Amino acid sequence: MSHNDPIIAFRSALFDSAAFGSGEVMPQAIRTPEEAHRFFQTQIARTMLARRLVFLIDGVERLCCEVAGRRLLSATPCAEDDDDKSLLAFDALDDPGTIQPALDALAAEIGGWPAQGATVAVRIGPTALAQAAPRGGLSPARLSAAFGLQAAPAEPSDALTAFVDMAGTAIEAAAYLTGDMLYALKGEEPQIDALSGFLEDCLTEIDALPDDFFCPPGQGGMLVLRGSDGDAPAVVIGVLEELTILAHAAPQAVSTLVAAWAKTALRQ
Amino acid sequence: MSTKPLQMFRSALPGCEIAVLTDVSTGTVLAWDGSVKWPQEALDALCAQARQVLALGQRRAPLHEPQTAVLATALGVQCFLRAAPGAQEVLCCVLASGSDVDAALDAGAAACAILLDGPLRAEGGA
Repeated sequence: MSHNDPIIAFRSALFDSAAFGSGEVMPQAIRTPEEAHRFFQTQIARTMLARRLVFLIDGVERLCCEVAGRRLLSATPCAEDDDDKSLLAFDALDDPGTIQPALDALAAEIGGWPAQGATVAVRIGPTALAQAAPRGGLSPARLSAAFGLQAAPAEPSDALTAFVDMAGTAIEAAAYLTGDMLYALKGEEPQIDALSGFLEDCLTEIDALPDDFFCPPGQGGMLVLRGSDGDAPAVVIGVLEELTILAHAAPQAVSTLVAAWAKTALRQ
Repeated sequence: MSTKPLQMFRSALPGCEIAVLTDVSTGTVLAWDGSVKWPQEALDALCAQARQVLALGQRRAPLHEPQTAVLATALGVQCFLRAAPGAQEVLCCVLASGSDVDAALDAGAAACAILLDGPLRAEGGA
């Protein structure tokens, strides 16, 4: 199967992540507690589908986390067998009295990684929480605040960034998907969560589209969908190279979106 | 069904190559008008595409029931408009790159109203 064709690569990545849910982030150097915190927060921010992330320091398992919809649901040190030893438990997320102490303990645990080793890696696998994961959990922004981090910038393709910029106010919120990771491009966190939820709900339908649906091989294509509610945002699905953009847009701005896509993604 | 509303719709849109009215529930081409004659399999493929795009995101916010879809590629722009909320009749058109898509969608809505509810509905089929 050729991965030069963007729609085939997109479908392949979706299928693989949905069917097998596994992957790995290769070892990366960590020298300071801030680097460790930022690495951890980035992995949470990039995990859209429900996954179990196991963090390894110099190849040794240290922390096991359940993540869904870019939210941290639980964190348990790997040396502990008893669930009561969890730093952050699934059923304690709604208790304000326990969340802050848990975040403090998590920050201390992760901040201690550089003293335990020189590299951090992540093993990604399926989770039993996949069907029951709530819309709660700790967001990347909450983690950043707990760790004292400034927001890390995203790294989208130049063409997708240019498309969002050129579309201007026509686009209300946008994110791009590569592999099974969703990265915010524009909009507030609730809007990105809405995009993420829509994509998760429609994975099966998008996967059923023909290989050449969005574009001739090697070129980009964009679909704009509007519902019967004239005030509801339009949904934009664009495919370009290895990336897919998902956006909510003003329903009356279809021409603006098409023109911006032609100039940036299609270079017409 | 008369093709006059489709002819008027297409002739008013610079760069519109073809306009097709289809029933997405059966995949049937009800009427069409084009600058060139499309083979039946190409018309059928356009109808199948209409059914696929207007099924995406059904019953999910914010679309609930997709009413229009616009597919922009390097080869041009394809527009799909449901004739009315809940209707199975869909107006499809293929436009050249750079066409005024908003104008096409507005004109398409007007053409759908004529096709389904106007006095021309009772005339002979295409």
